[in-house]
Amino acid sequence: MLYLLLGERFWTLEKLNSLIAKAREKNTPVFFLTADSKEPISNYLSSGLFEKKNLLVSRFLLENKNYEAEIEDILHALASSENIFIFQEEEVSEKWEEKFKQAGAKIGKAGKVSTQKLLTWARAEAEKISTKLSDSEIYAIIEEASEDPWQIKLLLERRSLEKLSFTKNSLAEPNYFEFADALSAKNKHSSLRLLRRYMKGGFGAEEAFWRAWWKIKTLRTLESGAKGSELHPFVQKKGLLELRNYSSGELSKLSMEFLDLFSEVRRGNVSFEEGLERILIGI
Amino acid sequence: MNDPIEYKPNESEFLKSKILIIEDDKFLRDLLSQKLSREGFKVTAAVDGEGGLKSAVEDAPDLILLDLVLPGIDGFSILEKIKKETKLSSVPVLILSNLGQKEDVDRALALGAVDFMIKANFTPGEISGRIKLILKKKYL
Repeated sequence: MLYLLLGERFWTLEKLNSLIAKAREKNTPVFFLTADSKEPISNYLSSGLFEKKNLLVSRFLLENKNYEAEIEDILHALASSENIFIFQEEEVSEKWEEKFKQAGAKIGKAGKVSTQKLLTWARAEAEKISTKLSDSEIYAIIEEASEDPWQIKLLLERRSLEKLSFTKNSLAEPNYFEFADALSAKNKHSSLRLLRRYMKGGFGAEEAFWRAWWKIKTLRTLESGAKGSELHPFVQKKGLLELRNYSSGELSKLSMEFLDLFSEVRRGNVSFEEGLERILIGI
Repeated sequence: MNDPIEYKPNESEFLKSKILIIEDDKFLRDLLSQKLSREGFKVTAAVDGEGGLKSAVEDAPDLILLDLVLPGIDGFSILEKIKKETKLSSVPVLILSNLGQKEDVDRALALGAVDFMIKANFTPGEISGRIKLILKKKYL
């Protein structure tokens, strides 16, 4: 059985998640190949006499030229196999779509998910874990998670746990989004003040680093122009305003400094707090 | 003479079990630690395999949640060492990884992992559910 899920990332991931959940209910083993995998797809083609059928999720495999020839060769075999093969791609050429069609693949396509739909979905997910969040909090989470449903669920879970711990311990709850916003506004004093406040409150600088890194990644995506249109309209609108605060060179330098900091921290040469302070002083 | 009665802990008791998380992703490590602690487990965490192994030998956990891609020694080697360590060989190891190729899953299970979960498919609630299931099977 062969599926091709095409289009907007949020939708394809959600569709994938529901197919995987169904497979798990039936105890079907689920495997993954990604663009940087090396294992041939043919390894998943046959299941032994006493083996269960399995589900193979191939994510963005057509981005890897090494897989193209193999996929072309075995597309019909995949479609007629008892195993399930799902290809997730953002877009494919007409030629590839035709090949999948001819092989008998079920093709699902989706356009951009509306802001309202995304918000409604995230709100429902929050309710599942008994968390009530404001729309702006949910938007911020969607932005940070780059619309990846799994990341959104993880961030909602964290917010839920933070809220519980806030109620329990009455600790001042740090809002790292404020920090990322101060950085994107190129507000040196405000970002330094917030970072020091987190440190004083006993909260980690690593969280601030990651929140800020997501922001930089978003701005760089927007700056690249073509890819910017794939971002959510809310994220795009906010990011385009923030992009005015940095020149292309400044943004690239900032991004390099963040990457260097991460490597230095991993090597144990510097702490996130120290490294972030150094970067902020330079903005 | 009656047969000796086998001791079977109830759910509230196994919820006090010690879980060791070996995960280098701080976000996920903290999130899972918080989630599992809130559910009553005693949680310790390590950022790499060496630290995790040291911690496990010092204070044997009831279950190890192990990532495979780790700085330094990889998760497969850690799993191998855990299974060779007399004190730890019976501790269930649950793999939580981004890797999902058949050969990775097969290798981990062959090395003695009790289960293999692919990160992007499970929420912390589902991971916690799986942990409870494994501990239930172990104790009840």
